[in-house]
Amino acid sequence: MGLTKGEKKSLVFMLIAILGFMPPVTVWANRVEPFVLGMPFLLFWQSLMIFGTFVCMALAYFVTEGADRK
Amino acid sequence: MTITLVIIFGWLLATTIVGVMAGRNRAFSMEEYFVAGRSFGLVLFYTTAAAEIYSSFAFLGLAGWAYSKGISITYALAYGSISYAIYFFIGPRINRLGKRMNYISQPDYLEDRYGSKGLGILVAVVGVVFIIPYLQLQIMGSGLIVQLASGGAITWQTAVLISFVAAVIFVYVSGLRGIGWTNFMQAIIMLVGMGSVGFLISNHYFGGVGKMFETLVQLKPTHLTLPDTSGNGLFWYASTALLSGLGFWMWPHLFSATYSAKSEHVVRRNAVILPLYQLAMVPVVIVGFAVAAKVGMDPAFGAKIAKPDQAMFVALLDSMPAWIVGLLGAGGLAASISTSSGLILTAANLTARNILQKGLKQDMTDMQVAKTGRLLVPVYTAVALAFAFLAPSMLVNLLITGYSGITQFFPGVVLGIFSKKPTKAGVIAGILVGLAALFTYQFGGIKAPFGLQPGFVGLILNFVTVLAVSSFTKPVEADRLERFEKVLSTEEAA
Repeated sequence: MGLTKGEKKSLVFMLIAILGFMPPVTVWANRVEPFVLGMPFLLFWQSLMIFGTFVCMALAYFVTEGADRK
Repeated sequence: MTITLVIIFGWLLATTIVGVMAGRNRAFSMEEYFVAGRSFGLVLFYTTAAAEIYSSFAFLGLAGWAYSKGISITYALAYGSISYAIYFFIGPRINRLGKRMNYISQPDYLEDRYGSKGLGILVAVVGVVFIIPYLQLQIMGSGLIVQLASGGAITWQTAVLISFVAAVIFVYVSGLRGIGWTNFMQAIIMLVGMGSVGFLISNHYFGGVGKMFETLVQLKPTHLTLPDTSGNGLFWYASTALLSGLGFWMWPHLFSATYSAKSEHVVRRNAVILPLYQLAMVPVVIVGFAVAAKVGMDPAFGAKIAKPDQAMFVALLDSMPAWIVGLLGAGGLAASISTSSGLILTAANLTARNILQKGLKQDMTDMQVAKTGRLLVPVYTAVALAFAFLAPSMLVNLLITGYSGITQFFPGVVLGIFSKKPTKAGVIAGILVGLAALFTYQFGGIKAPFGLQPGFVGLILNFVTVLAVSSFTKPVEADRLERFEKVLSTEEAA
């Protein structure tokens, strides 16, 4: 039971993916301007964080594989 | 028949044929029927999961909420991402346990982990109780989509009957393998529909997404930041996103879908790529905003939208050629059927396996479980249809109640994977306390503190109860813990 060595290192990526949607980050992102890609900033930020979740989990994958398959 | 209906029902017929064909030449067994013989690879598991996850809510509710209330709908963007980040750690272990211990349902795991038949039956019954309203919601969503797309040429009741006869046929014949192959097709058409619709409608009315938002910010500035027009603020947004993110994989149909992956590595890689599917929801949210801006400029247009859930299709009919409406209609119907078929099979699975074989009728063989489950497929569909015809109500509220209830499984499931401390009595007490709190808030007319989701308060009380009761009740037997320790600490070779 418990997480593997690699997974423990990867927990930080899970936290980044979750906290990006949570206050205080969303308190900062909760604005209309600047518009990015035509979208008001809050909607843009959330779209970016969805992609960011993919990037975080990809990093988590490589870190976990790297540490656990030596 | 119009082009729109030809496309929608043509697509339905094609998926039904694929679903039926998928089950050919497969020996009928419990494992084959409910978890597709644990055979799905990366792509098939991806599309199966995505199509089960994204329901008719992703077409109707998302756009309707953005249109009527504003940007608080983006809690739905947040919770999907949160759930995938968590799935990275728990998904592979659920798959591994399923494979080594021969689980085919969610209560199979909880029952075995804590050595309690009662817990298994409790979780199965609660699961069925929350699946039925969710299924009813999908049925009504599918009917509404076809009725709207056809411009009222076909009633929602007729559309529902045609769609669900089709769904029952392929689920009955092919079980989860049929769902897997139809979902492969459904996931693709959903992606095409969701991905394109936001830009099509914004371009038509405003000449682009940027110009549309510039208009909306003038006309309805409260739509674009929190708290939005509905008054839902950041605290509501964060607690709802977190609650739904934790509860996500506790849905019995998604939990047991995890067993269908060929290996835990398939599951882990899917935790990486599933967030990308989420991006398709952004254009649908944009459609809702586009309709809000359009109505802001032209209030007469708003009169055509009787309920927010109709916003997307009213705008589509107003602005797009019939074949595009048909494609979107097929996409929306696909979203609904793919989620429904998983729910139907899972309700049948929970009943035959956990309520009957492990509860009321313990002499049943696995083959009898498979056959009984198959018979229950049309039965549960009929029950949900009856609810849909006799007791219709608004989409999103039901979904949030279901989520709050299902999330109460989270402590038992996750602590069972990572900790030896929780006891049988602790987990049962936790679920009961969580559900009691939820129902008190939901139906007792009492407001949860700080504007939190009732389910969130339930979840906190649930965790506290598990830990408190576990501290003085009989621990799980040592040999059982040892068996789980062994499986949980040995990763499957790549």
